[in-house]
Formats: sequence, C-alpha cells, structure tokens
Amino acid sequence: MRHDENWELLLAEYIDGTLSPADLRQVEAHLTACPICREGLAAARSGQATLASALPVGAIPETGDFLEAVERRADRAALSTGSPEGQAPSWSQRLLARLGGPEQAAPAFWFLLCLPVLALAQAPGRLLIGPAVIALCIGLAIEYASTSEAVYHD
Amino acid sequence: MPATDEELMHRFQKGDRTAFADLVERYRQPAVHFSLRMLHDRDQAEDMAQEAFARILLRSGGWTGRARFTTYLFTILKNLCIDELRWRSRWGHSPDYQSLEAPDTGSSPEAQVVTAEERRLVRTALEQLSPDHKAALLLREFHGLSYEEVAGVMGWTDSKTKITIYRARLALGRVLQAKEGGAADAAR
Repeated sequence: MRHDENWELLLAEYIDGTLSPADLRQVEAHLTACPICREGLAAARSGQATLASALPVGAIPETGDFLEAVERRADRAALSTGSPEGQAPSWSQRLLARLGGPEQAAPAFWFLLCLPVLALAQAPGRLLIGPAVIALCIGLAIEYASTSEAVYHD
Repeated sequence: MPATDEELMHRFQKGDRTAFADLVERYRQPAVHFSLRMLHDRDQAEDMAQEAFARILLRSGGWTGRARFTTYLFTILKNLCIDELRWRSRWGHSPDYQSLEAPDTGSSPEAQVVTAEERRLVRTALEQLSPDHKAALLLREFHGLSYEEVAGVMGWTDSKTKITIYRARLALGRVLQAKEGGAADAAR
C-alpha cells in the first residue's frame, strides 16, 4: 500500500474520532511532520462540514398511503417477475403488469380489440389486414393475461 | 423496549405483516432522504423508497439475517438510485436542486457560516463523484452507517470504503479551498 493510502485509511477514522489511542498518537505524530497529510485533512474536514448544509432535506410529510403504495407495487411486481414461490410469468403477464394490472389494462384491451374491426369496416383493402391481425393478437394476449391473474394471488 | 429491526424482520418472515409495517414506518423517512440526496427529485425519491420496500415485501426470504436490516434496505435503495442516475446520464438529465428545501440555518453554527455559493460549489463537486462514491459518502455522513456497514452496502472492502469516503470529503474540500484561493487572489 502506498504512503498516501496508508494514511488516508487512518485519516478517515481520525476525522470521525474512531481511532484507537495508539493509532491516534501515531496519526498526530505524523501530522506534525507531514504537510501534505495536514493540508489534506484540513480540506477533508472542510468538505465534510459544508456537505451537511449543502444537501438539506426537510421532514418528509406523512402521506398516510405510503404503506398501501408499497403493497400495490409489490402486487404489480409479483405479476411482472413471477410469484413469490418462483413461478415465472409469461410475456403477456409481464405486459399486463407494465400496463398497471388488469383494471388499468382493460381500456387498452377494448381499444385494441375494436381497432381491427374499425379498420376493416372503413377500408376493407388488403393493406390494413396485416396491422389489424397484429392488433387483434395483442388484444387477445392482454385478455389472456388478465384472466390468469388468479395464479399470482392468494 | 421496542423491537430491533432484525426482530421485526424475523417476525415479518414468519408472516407478521404488522412487523413489516413497523419497519416501513421506521425507515420511510431515511429511505426517502437518501434517495432525495441522490436524485434531487422528491417524487422520484418517494418512488424509489416505495420500490425498495416493495422488493423487501415481495422477497422477504432475501434477507438471511447475516447483515443488519439497514444494510439490506440501503443496498436495494442504492442500486435503484444508481440505476436511475446511470439512466439519467445516458439521456443528459441534469440535477435540479430546487427539490431540496432551503437549509435550516438556525440548526448549527456551521450551517450559518456556509454561504449559498459554497453550497453550490459543494453540490457541483458532489455531482462530479461517481454515483457509487456519492452513495458511500451520503450513507456515512447522513445515515450514520459505520464504515463496515457502508462496505457491506457497496460490496467493497473496509479499506476501499474508508479511502473512498476520505477522498470524496477531500474532493469537496478542495473545491472550497480553490474558491477561497481565487477570492484571495482577486482581493490582491
């Protein structure tokens, strides 16, 4: 270990006042002889003192629903990462979780289901058949995921 | 005597959800404060704290009892915040210090002599630290974690932790010294 690192190790604890009496005597003797460490120590103390006031944070107001928010997140995460027992979710279940759960995904499901019907009704040309089929598949995937929700809940 | 964090975790692992609620109540504020100092965004800080607790709730078996609960919590939180900072740096997002409240200058004599300019300089210097060095410094300075606990959170050795924190303090102090040096030169 280099000279600097050896003393930096001790100076870190010197600043915090956690050195043993023997190490404390050793550091103080070194500081009287080493201007580099003395200057470094003064700078580090100054940085530490200013830091406390540079990042003030007040009390976080009680929102009351923090715990409920945590539990909702955990439920959503259970959907996206599998059950606590380790059962992996399908891609559609991950998609559903990304959308915020079955309730939030319902409007998206109905929209996607209606899209191909509307497309075919307005322009029954061949160009729209491809996107319409894809939209229908996505809609069905979401529907499948929302019906298999029970797998991940008690 | 109130139950220790570790006792609460053991109770939670046995299915006691009120023990988990007690842990959330105990550590909601420190978790949001840490995230806020890392990210400078109140809403995101709250999100990160909720996400960390949600992960603990989801995987209660992830804590084996070898480390303290605070080490476990801050490890999850630190990883979440560092991921967010990396995402931000990829997209060129700069920190917004408006999210931090005005300091309580009546709290300590040191706080009263620190000028707005010094605070700005220190914040700038802090942002130049890597996210993990910043996290280590914050855990030590604001959350009272010992060097061993910070080492546990960061996955470093004790020596690396002490040297990193010392150098981070030094970097902040050097910025202030440079400013004082510049002011002295200007006065001449």
